[in-house]
Amino acid sequence: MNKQLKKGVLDICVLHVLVSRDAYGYELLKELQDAMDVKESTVYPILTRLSKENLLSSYMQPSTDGPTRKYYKITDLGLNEYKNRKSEFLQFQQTIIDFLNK
Amino acid sequence: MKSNYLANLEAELSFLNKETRQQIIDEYEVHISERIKEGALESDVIQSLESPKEVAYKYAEELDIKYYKLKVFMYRLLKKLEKIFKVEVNKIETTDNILSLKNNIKLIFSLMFKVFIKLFSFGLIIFSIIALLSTILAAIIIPKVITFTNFKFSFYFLIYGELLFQSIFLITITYTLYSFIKKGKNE
Repeated sequence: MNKQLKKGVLDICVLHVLVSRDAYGYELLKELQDAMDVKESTVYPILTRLSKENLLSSYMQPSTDGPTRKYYKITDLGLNEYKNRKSEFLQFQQTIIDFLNK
Repeated sequence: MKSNYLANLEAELSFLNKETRQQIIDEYEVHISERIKEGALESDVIQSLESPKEVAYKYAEELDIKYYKLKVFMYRLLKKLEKIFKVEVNKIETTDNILSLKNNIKLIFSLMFKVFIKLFSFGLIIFSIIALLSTILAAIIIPKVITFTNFKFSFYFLIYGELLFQSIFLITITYTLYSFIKKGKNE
């Protein structure tokens, strides 16, 4: 898929995963990769940025086998942003589909 | 292999503050260990990752960081200077921003002074070599070009005299400066 098109939409996808449950980076990446073609170097920077924008918070949880995992949790601000962006995107998508089918 | 990759990544990410950098390194460490747990070879996992440079570029782009290349360049330069002059650049690294002069002004001044001395003495050595070569060249060429035989003797005299004077003078200065630097290094 086109890079520019993917960019804004991926934010929504990342938030979408975290709405239902907390997840650590790799887990989240796997879930996204099951559905679409994304690289880790695309997803991890998004997580860092969303954390900086206070849409996500994080906490550490030790793993039984391996290094400590960092779990991401969606904040109230993030939840709000997710709803807004999702409806915005769906509306936009409908507009484009209507236009292309004209 | 893994530690090598992570160390490289950390160097490339030097435009970020230490906390963020560490979080990114941790993220990649978990990523690599999870892949290995799934049965992949460490070397294959590292191969499949993008190069530290590309990863750093993506972070800079995503976080909208300007002049990150300059910052990485500064970091690498400081690291190189650390090797040459055995100054602890780590002191710079621990501060939030490696470019913040305020916190490191003393260190950077001493570093600049040492670099200046080094370049100055290097320049003197090069200059003395050039001067010597040019006088030797002059001694060979000029008598052939100028046909006034009366002047021949005086030219020879002038050139050889200058050559002797220059070599003694420059070698003395260079040696003095060199021993001065050596002394500074041992301190």
